[in-house]
Amino acid sequence: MPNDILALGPFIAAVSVAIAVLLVDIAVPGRRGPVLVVSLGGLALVAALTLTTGQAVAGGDGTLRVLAFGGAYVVDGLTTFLDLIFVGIVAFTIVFAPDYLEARGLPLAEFAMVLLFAMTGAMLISGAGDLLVLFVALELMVLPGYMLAGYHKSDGYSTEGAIKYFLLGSFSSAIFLFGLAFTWGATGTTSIEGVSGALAAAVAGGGALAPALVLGLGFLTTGVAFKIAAVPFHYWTPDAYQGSPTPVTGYLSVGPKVGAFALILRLFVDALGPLRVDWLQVVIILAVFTMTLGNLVALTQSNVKRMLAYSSIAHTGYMLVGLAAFAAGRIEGLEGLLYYGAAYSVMNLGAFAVVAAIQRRAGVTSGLDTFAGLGRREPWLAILMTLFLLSLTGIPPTAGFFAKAYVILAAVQAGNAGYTAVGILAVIAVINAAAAAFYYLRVVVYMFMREPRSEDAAMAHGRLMWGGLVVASVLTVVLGLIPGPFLDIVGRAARAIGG
Amino acid sequence: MTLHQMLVFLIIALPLTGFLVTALVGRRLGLNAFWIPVAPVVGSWLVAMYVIATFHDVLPAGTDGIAVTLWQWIPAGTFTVDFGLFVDNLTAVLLVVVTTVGMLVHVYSIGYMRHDPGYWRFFVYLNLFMVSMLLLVLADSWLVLFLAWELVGLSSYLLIGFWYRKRTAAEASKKAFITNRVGDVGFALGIMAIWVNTGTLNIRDSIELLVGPASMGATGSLAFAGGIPVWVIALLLFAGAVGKSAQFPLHVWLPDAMEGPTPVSALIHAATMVNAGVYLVARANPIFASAPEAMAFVAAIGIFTAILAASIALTQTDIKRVLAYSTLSQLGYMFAALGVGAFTAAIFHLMAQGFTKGLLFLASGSVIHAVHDEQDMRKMGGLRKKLPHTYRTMLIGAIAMSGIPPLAAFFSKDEILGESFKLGFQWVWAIGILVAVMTAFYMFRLIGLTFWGKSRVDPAVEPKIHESPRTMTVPLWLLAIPSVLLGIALTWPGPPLGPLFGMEGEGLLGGYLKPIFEHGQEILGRREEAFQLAGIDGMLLAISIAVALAGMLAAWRLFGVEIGPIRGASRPALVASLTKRVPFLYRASANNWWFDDINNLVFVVVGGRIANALAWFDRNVVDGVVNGIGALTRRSGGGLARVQTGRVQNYALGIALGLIAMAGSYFVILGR
Amino acid sequence: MRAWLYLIAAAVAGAIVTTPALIVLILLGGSFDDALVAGLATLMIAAGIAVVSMRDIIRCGLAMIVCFLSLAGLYVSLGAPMVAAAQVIVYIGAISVLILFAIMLTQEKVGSARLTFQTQAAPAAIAAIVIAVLVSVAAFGTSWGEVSEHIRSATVYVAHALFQNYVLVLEAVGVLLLAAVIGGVFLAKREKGA
Repeated sequence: MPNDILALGPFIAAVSVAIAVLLVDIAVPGRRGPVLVVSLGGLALVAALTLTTGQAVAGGDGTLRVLAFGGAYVVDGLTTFLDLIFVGIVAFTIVFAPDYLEARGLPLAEFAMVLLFAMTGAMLISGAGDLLVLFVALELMVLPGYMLAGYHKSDGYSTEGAIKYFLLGSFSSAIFLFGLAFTWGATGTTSIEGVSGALAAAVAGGGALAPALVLGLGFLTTGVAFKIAAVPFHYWTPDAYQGSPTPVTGYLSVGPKVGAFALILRLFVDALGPLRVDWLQVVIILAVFTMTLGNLVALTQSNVKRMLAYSSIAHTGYMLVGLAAFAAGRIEGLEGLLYYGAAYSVMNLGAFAVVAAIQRRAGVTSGLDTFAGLGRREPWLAILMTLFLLSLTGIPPTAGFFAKAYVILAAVQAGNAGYTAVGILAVIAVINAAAAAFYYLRVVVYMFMREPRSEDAAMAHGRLMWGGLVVASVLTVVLGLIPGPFLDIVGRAARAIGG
Repeated sequence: MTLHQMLVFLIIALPLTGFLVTALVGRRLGLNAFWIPVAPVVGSWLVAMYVIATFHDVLPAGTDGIAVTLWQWIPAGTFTVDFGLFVDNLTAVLLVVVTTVGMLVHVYSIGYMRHDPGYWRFFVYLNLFMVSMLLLVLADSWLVLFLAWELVGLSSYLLIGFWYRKRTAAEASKKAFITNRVGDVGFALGIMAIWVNTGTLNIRDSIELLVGPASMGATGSLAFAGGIPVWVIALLLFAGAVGKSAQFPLHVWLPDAMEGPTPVSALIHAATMVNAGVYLVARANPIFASAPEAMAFVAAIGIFTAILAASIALTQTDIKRVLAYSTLSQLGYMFAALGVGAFTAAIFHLMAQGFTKGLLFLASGSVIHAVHDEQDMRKMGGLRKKLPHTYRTMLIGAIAMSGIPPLAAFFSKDEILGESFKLGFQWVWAIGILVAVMTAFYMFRLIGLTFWGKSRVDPAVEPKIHESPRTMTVPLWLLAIPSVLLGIALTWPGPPLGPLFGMEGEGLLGGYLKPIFEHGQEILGRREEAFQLAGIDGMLLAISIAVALAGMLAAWRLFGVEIGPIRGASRPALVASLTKRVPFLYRASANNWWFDDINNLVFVVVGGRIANALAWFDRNVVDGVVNGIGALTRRSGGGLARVQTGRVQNYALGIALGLIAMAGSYFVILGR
Repeated sequence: MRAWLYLIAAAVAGAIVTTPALIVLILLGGSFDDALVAGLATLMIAAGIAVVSMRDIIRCGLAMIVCFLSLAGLYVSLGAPMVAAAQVIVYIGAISVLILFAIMLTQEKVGSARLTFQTQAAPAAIAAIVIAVLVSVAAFGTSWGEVSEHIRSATVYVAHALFQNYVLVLEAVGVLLLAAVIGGVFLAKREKGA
């Protein structure tokens, strides 16, 4: 048992940080300094603990898998990797939020706290070894998201988006749970290893699978497709994203998405791994629709937040390409997916941070017009935004380019190894990536090649905001230019479940 | 890392430093901003020249170039990519053009852009372009090449749109980027295909794996080993080349790109970036040589672009647009040469055209500068006396471009035409001859309209016309030197040049590039034939010169001539009557054969409709909240009321239907 | 007069609910257990239909309680009284009452408490039926094996399950509830001056 607790250390620490923020806010209400110190310091602590736990429990190279709580919790290279990404996402979100929230009279403490709770859920997903843990962790991750979406209580759009997000999210969770129940029924166990073993036996035994399992697979795929906002289960995204306060939108477009991909890794790759040839076909179709529709609709958006919302759908599609490549037998697909998740988090959060910075004054919209002439008004902000947009477009030498290249090349490999459909997927991904330039660069054109509507003075941005932006932009460049060390970590994480 | 490897790295590192430093502090330097960006480019030129002159001495045995691995970009795994640079003879030739023209354009810009408020910004972009272009020619891996390819596109986009307040400039930059993007898709797919077949992204290794090692010569069977046929790879790579080098049907961006500042036109759209496609095909020559069908296609596209662009250049009134279409046409020549297998001739023409066209563009910039940013040749005329340096250098450029011996472009163009004829591509030769007439004609039409005859300049501007400052005229003269001498220097087989470089009897460039194209020639099964002045070569040469002279004379008759004692008046009435006789052709030429209208119809109108329809569908059928309905429900009170507007139920129904489809498809998939 | 109508309606409803139970008992020769399951299932379905089809939102809430109650009954008949108790306490005692209170508090006094009917009722019904068919086909087509064995329902097993096998889940649920409470309090808190 002590060992179990040790393995769970990062999770416990994360919960403690969330509670500490609550206590700090009770002790010194409404002050942002202490909240920032406690939450960011706490996150650093969680990150350090994650690293040491990964080292101590799962061995140096992270490929060793350690089970805790009778197999309900797993620590391996993947857990460590994903936990660190989640910590990073939440840290960035907290760093980018204060300026925006303050301008609208929204408290920071509750924001940070709810976000930290969401992080605990995501961390639990990354280490889930049991279907029940997986489900509760998923709910723990998304529930705070519903609250964050409605964080701007006096704004009708925020509330509306939140309620829609909540109702549909609950609906999809129910579908997902139904699927889990069927899986449990058909295999007789809720342990991920057990399910995987039972399925492997069933596949090896030949013959048809139990109909309940087939149906369960359908339910599970639907539930997960909703959480990652894959077309045609994406309807909630634009509403929830546009209505939410901008820092929340940034978080929602990254956190729950990467979290849901973590869920896919634990559930589909790990538990349902023996059936990967079968779900591969569904993933291919989802990927095609998701990339293409996300891109085409993003083309016509004149609101930057909404454009980024649709483009985030397209990015889901690229990540699915990596998943498809993995299902077709290429570990590189998994590596690409993990790399993509990290790169996408950094660049998308960066882009949203710039949008939030521009909206520093309450009442500023996120329409394209707002960006007109930004290059002259606030050149540095415009340059950083350009960098993030170029990365999202996939222009070298940024992280975004590398991420796309990785998943696409993995898909090509798979295509070459006989999975023609995955090869075709790679071609579609290339075409889509090219098309994405149109709408991303439109923002650049507005920033540098349009006169501002009115001569707004440059707004002052906090040091915290600048610091976060610099870190995000440096990461965006470094991850693309010298990805080597990072790829080592990614490779270890991928081998933990796919090797 | 040896000294030379260090120096190769320095070629890129210098402008990169210039770019970063200028970007950081340039704004505070005001009009002194040029020192930081220009000095590294000059340094880069010096280093490049030193490397080119000496790298043969330090080559390890059995290699034909210096490879530098800066770091492992993608570490070991199933695929490894090094961030590497490579200098061999082909790269060296390109380096000469890129660094020389680049340096001169930087110097020229010191004067040309002086009055622009974005002085430092311009140099930032220009340095970025130099970095990207140098990386492009130095790249040792397809992935690095692709990186540079995209960066070149990006910096060109920034430079074309430099005067973004000009609406046309902003539009043109967008057009350039988008058109290039189309080609890039092909290039990216081509790289993927190479990787599928060979498992490596190193340019040299992959080519060797694709077509067999150089010693094996033509190996048709190996060419299909990896699954994807070589001709597909060749065509995909060619798609990238078509985009960047503005060949039909992606040529539409180049003329519009003239909206950028003139030094940009000279550097990017005449001398360097547009040559990237030619470089790509030349670099991949064994791949193309293994796919004769693709070669023929390249030749056809090239020569078609050549005549198409030449026909448009005949009637343009914007001085830079004439030069732009001329560039297109010359690039067409180069691709025709590549297509027929005359690789050396293509690179030769690339060099000659690069210097000459750089000169012509910079000279045209000087003219535009003098007449206060007027680009319409109908509002020029008679500038000969007022701009003596500009006039003389531009005349040299025009004579060279027209193909009059012994100037540079004559040799290169003649080599292309001659080789096409001798290698069995008589149709390419015939069209090429037609293009040669047109070239001579439009070049002298340009000179005639601009410098000869009576002045048609705006009277308000007329008294203020003056020759440009030294920083602008000196680069003109410096560029005029290679425009005149390069041809002789590079082809003269006899003493003193041949023996000096140990390449007696085959011309300097031919011998120099031999190791690069040997492999391709071997696959094609070509043998060197001696030049016969008294035989077929002499005859083709004579025809070339004759048609060039004919074009020139026709232009003289129509647009006048004033060279020293030779004088003749222009005949506007004759021009008008001639154009009236072929109204369709005239309109087609003046309207660029309506390409812009067709593209507009196909992509902007039809494509826009489709995207809008999809957006409408997504908004009103699947989505539908924010615009109309959201505002409506806003008034009706609390949160619950909004939920009842039905949208959420619609979504939920959508999810339910999706669930059914999903479950159904699993039943189908697993119903085995 | 109205009282009679209500009585008749109640009788009809009772008949509809009890008929399947009687059919199972008499025509199919099932045991009383089977009849009970059939009756409860019918009641649950009827209540479920009432929830989505009635126009008065408070009645919908009440029908939902009936639905939960019959589910609790099903748990009892399957031999899981602990789960049934949890169902009654949590879902009926807490959640349903909470929902009803929320509805009553937020509804305007004068305005109608009526739901707007949707045009997609028909496709929704079809979708629901198709999913039901799919689920039942899958359920009947699968040999459930050990999962279908009778659940050991003694409290001690429940305790073992909760505090040994699934202790992590239990703890995670605790965190989940904490997060939900904090978020709920924040969202419900009145804005200053509002």
